[in-house]
Amino acid sequence: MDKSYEYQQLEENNELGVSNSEHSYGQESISPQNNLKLKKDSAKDIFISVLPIIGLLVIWHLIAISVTRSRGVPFPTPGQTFIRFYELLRGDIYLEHTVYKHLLDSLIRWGSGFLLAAITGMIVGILIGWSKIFDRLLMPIVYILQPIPSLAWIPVAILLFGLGGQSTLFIIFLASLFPVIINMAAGVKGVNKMYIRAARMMGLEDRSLFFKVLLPGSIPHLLSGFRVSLANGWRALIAAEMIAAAGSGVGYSIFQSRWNLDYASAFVNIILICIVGLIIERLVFTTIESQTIQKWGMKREEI
Amino acid sequence: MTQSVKIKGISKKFVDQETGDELLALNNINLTVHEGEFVCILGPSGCGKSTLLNLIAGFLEPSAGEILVGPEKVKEPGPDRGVVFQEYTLFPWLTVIDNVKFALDQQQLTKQEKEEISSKYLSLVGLADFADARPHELSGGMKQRVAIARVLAMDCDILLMDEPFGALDAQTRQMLQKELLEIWEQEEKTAIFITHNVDEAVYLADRVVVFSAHPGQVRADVRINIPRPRDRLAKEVAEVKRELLDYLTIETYSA
Ligand SMILES: Nc1ncnc2c1ncn2[C@@H]1O[C@H](COP(=O)(O)OP(=O)(O)OP(=O)(O)O)[C@@H](O)[C@H]1O
Ligand SMILES: [Mg+2]
Repeated sequence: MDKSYEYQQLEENNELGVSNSEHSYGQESISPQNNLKLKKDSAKDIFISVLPIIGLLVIWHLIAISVTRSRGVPFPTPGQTFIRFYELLRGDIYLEHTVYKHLLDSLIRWGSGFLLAAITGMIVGILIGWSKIFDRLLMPIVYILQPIPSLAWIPVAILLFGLGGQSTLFIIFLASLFPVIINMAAGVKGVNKMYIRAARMMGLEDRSLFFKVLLPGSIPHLLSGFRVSLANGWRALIAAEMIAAAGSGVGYSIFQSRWNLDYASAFVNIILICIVGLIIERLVFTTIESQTIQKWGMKREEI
Repeated sequence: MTQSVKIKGISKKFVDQETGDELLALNNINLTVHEGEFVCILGPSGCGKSTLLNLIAGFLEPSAGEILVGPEKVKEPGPDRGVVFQEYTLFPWLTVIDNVKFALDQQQLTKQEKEEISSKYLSLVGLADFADARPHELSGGMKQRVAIARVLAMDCDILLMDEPFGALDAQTRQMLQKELLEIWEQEEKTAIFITHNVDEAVYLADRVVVFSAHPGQVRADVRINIPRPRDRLAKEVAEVKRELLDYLTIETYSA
């Protein structure tokens, strides 16, 4: 069902991250019945879902041919790109590393930046959601810093950490941080007051109230925060690698094609970025959601 | 152990945060609910029934007066007073059985004991087969049954119920009333049950306390000596209903 919807959602994972939170809930409508229906007319369904990809490849091919002809530059066609893709997957060295090494380095940077942001963001978000004082102290800071595009932090990063890995990490961290803070805070604030009363009635004190009610109660919000945070982080990573001279990575690989004119490799890396994004979105998040909020029937109005 | 509830000179004032307007929701309520008694509080919407229940439960603080549960003054919510809310308040992320067990997790019990107690009460409300379901898979009536099992499992002294069947259809409502009475008779608990439904009050209660509105006050205190199970259509039931309705109508006209 509704593949187009998810593409649209990827696009809408913007830097701010707040507006997005509403979208993620829509996915609950994928019920077992719909899945059954999907299987029945799967042939048609598969055809329809690959159609946009075919369309994209055709357009790409046409552009490649005409650009190569009119401007005389070697714009890689899909065919050339896939050959290069195959070579790289085979283990050919590109910019001193295999494509696997580049990808792995990027993933590690992304993962550690996100992890740092998730932990910090959850703690700060919980404080803001839990206490009025922290809300008034920290929320203005969040609102001031949050609109700054992550790449605008590059000078700050370089001043703080110099060129290299730490700078990249810092930028990814900042890009991922704010959606987590904002959604975590909204999640904690949004936990149904009656759940809190019920828990108090059953004798829970602050600590267990927090772990047993506030935290699980804010998971729907938190998940949409993570979703935006990961997308922001990935985007920032690619850009940060281009600038903060990482020496490896997917973004670095793309950017270096300026010098070595290996555009096909750059395109391969762009495809890798798409694939990673889709895997995270489709496999990881959809699975987490179906194991949590979808299973619990936690629609937005019930939170 | 069952306990009595003594409500002594309770008033509750709400102050509007923005305008500063004061609203006297309850005015000088005096009421004693004896050990093991089933008392219904009956009154029109907005007369402060939920406010009173929230005060007994410890969710609100009184503006004047005090409430005693047994010898103890009510200061905060606690597992001695089990509340069944009008809204559905089961935790959606827990299974049905875990929702019942939730209350027990605060107590010093072995895993085995928790398991046994929660299964026992889930069976008592007829939902043993739904132990592993999630709340959102249950009907409204089933959810309220689980909510009842939850407070019974924690072995509270006082059962506080705020229109727990208000959102249910008439049939389910009557069935649950019957079940509730059976359970109450077995468990020997003091019960305070809030309703604006005269039929419900007459069917359930040992005593019906009628409230008037603006400000909430006790208007009448009617003892019902009809043996249970009561026939909803019997003549003496109808007579009590008439009496209660009279109190409520006077109230509506004078308001
Ligand atoms: N937290 C609050 N802040 C301000 N006013 C309140 C608050 N809670 C209740 N009130 C007011 O107090 C009065 C009594 O409310 P309460 O909810 O106790 O009525 P009720 O008898 O339970 O009504 P219902 O049968 O509709 O549930 C109402 O006028 C209500 O507006
Ligand atoms: Mg009420």
